[in-house]
Amino acid sequence: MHKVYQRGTQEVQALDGVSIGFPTGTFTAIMGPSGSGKSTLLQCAAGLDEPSAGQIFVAGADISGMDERQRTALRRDRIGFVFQAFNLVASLTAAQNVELPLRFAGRRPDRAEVTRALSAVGLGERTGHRPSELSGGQQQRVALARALITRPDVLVADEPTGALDTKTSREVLSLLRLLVDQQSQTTLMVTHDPVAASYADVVIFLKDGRIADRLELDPTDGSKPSRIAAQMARLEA
Amino acid sequence: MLAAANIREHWRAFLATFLAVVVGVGLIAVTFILYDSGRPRPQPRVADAPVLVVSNQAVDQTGAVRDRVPWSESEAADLVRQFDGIDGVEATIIDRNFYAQAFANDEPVADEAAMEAGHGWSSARLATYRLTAGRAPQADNEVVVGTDLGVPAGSALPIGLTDGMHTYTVSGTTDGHGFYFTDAEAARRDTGVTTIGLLVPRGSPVSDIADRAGSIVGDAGSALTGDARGVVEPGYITHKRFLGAQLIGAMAVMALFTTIFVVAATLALATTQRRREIGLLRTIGADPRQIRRMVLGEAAIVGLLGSVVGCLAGIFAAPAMLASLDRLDVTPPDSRIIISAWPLLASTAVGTGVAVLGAWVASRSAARVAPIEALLDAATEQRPMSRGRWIAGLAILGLGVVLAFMTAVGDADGRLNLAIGTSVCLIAAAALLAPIVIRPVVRLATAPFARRSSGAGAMLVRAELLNATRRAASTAAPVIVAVGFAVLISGLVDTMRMAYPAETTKQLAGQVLIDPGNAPGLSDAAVTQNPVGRAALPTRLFVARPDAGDTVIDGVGSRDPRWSRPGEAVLDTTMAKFLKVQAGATVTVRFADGLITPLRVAQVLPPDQARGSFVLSRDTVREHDPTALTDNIFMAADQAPAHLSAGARLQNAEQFALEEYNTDAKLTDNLAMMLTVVAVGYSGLAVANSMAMAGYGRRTDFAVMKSAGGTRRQLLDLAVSETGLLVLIGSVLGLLATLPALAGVASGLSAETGTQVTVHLNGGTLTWAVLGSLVMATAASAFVTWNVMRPRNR
Ligand SMILES: Nc1ncnc2c1ncn2[C@@H]1O[C@H](COP(=O)(O)OP(=O)(O)O)[C@@H](O)[C@H]1O
Ligand SMILES: [Mg+2]
Repeated sequence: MHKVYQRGTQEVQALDGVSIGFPTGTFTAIMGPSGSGKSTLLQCAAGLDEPSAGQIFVAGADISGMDERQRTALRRDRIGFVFQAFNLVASLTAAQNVELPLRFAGRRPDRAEVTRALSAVGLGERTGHRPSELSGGQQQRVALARALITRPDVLVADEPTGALDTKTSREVLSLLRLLVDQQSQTTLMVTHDPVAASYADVVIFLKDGRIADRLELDPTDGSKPSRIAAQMARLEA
Repeated sequence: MLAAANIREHWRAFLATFLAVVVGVGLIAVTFILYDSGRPRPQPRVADAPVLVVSNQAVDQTGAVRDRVPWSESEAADLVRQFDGIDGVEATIIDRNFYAQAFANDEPVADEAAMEAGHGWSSARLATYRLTAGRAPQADNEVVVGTDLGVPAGSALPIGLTDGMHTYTVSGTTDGHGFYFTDAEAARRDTGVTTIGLLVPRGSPVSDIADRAGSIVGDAGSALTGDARGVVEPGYITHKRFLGAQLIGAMAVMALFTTIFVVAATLALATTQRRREIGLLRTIGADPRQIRRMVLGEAAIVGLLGSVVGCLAGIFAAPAMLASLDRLDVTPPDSRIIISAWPLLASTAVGTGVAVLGAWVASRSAARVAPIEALLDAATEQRPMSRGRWIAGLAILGLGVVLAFMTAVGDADGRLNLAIGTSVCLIAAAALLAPIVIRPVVRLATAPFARRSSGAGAMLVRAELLNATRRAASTAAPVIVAVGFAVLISGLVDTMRMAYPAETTKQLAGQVLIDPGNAPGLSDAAVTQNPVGRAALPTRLFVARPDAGDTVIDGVGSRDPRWSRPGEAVLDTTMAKFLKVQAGATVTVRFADGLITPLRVAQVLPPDQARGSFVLSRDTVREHDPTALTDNIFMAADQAPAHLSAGARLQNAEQFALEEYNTDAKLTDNLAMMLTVVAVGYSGLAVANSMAMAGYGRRTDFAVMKSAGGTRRQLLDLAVSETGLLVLIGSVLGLLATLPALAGVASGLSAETGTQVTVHLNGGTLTWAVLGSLVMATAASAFVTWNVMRPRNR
């Protein structure tokens, strides 16, 4: 697919002919220099934005022709989102934040279900806390619990650890890995951190809106981060 | 859930909405409470009659319900006979009211109820009053008077009546106000019946009797019981209530519109600042309708909370407002505050509704937030002008320009409304188009400083205002509205005040008038004594119009030989058009005595206030309306009489007219002042709010500036000078938006009065409005900036 942005009179080719599939149950990291089109790819894949040309299929359905109402339902039922920051509604407690997608779908949230989702990310004790009473890592984990409450086909994360320190980053990433391993959760993650990318099964490298490289990772390989970093350095050179 | 939680968390964003609703609902609640408290209650003078039968009310030319259509004496006698036949009716009494006023030392004793103070003795049985001394009047020269007059039984008392002064013997006194003559005397002095009282023994089935009486009068009237009998009251009380209602009604309407405006403005701003969060909700599956409902729900909750507090405020403020209306003498006598449920419930409903209505625009723009906005790195400023804003702004501007021309060329009746319409349009257009106006103005105003100054201040103010035009506009818009309204209201009052004396001087120069002093009018005797001059005898005439039912119009009895032939009437063109008649046709009118008489339309002439719109012979009016009184007699100064009848005074006509006008102007001034305070207060609130929101939204900006070496003092200066500049720009725009309407009014008045009328602005009000907005805005922005920069532990 292609994505062209209009900036004033100038056209920006954010994505310039990208064809790629993300198989069920895989964890894909998307990397590339700043401005290479990572976020654009993610947003198009998740139905937040429309491609200028091309087609996108999510769980067999063509989403490129959907109207906004259909895409709202798609996001609500089939896709879970985690962003870098400002993921939570400040006025709601952790549990209420997690319930939100169910409520938007018009479903009465089951208390136990919500507690289970929060427990799964290690926050079973914090259901009643407001975002301002949680640390950055905890907020991201609440966001993760919310993303997963609808059992989405795809989990989409844009720099989920970008605003976290090393230790809490690791907690969130391990959690993502665990979900892929135990529940075959299809996951897409944009990151610029080689350590974060090393938790994935596959790393896609973008440059100038094109796929520049692709790296299959071996779970047993201990030197993954340095290999990814080397690849990045080559790309940016 | 979400709406309530958002209010708890972001209460600051809703504070201004809340306060606006509190103030608006407070004012509306006061209005409703005063209206409810001032509703007519049975007057003591008729309170002892469990059933009052009244004739129907006619509408006036504007369609307002006014005078009761009188029954003739024979119609009334027929009704009385039938009422007497109802089982359980003890007595049926015709209530008569006519002008009667005691005189002492040849001066009328001041009495605002004088116009309807005379009654028949049997009417006393309808009242709660009892004879305190002496006996009932038995001869036509005897009278029972109220003890409040201080005249003992047995004394001789000069009483002014419509035909002149007569001396009566006080046969007794009663513990209520009024003059009670024999029934025969009363029937001569007030012919034509609108009210009949039924007396029933204690314990009788009043409602059954009222039903029977009601079916007897049928379509011609109604039988009233309980509190409904309150409508039988003297006209002066009705008039005062009407004035008071107009005054506070205007204020409530103003409060209503400003509340909607302020709520709309503050919520729109709150939504802009929450785009990222709304985007997040959209991302995780909220559809636009749900977002919309959330914003409306928030408004409803804030509106409801604000309404509850507003009602409490209204309850506490009502006595003070009653006191100030009392001071203006526009309340029924003995008014006191009654708190019942409906005014509070109604105010709450209005307040909640207004908040939801004000949230309409905000909810629409919130629903349009794209999910992707959750990902934006900073709350970037939107385009300064959306397409809708351009279209609305230009359309309203165009409408305002058209209205301004219509104001200048339109006729007198519509001019005021047109002027107000023009200003409202231009003010709204200025507020909507503010973002495009602000840019060049800021560029121009800051250019000299920016070039010369070496500090950061001028550069920052310039950059901030040029790049955040929309935020700047949201600060300037309320100032435009406040200053615009203040200038409009005070300018209208002042411009008209200048025009009126000019017109009066032209018309009345060299004339004198005989005015009745403490009496409500001049008697026939006084008129006969002064055979020269215009002595109109006003009466009310009832016309049955096929499409609109009974209509009441003003008739004038004239002694001018040109149009005072019996059996004929002279109409002006407006009246002829209204009645759909031409010269030579016949109009059938019902007079105050209930008699229906055909009149030949002798002439149709152009309107002339001095002549009147429906002119009859004076004798015809007197024959059919014994209660009519002449207001005053106009004549040329050299024809002034040497002698005046009791109580009458000779006045310079011009001066008299100006004094009358000034009495009215006092009310207008008060109204103008109240409206200005409301407008400025509200806009101050809106400005303070947008400054506050902007300040909190700029927390990170300030942090950056601070880390770049800006002192707290410098940043405070920055915020304050930014606000000051915006208030000044808003004031100028508000002033400009109002001038076309005022110029239109002035040129219209010039043409009409044939004198030079220029626009008059009230410098005091203008200064006050600008300074008020400036103080509120800068204080708010200084406070918020200081608060945002305070070191925090968290
Ligand atoms: N809304 C937008 N309007 C115009 N250009 C955009 C917009 N979003 C992204 N771009 C441009 O598209 C290109 C790709 O952006 P993005 O996908 O955000 O890159 P990345 O996430 O890899 O940094 C960049 O050149 C960026 O400036
Ligand atoms: Mg990005």
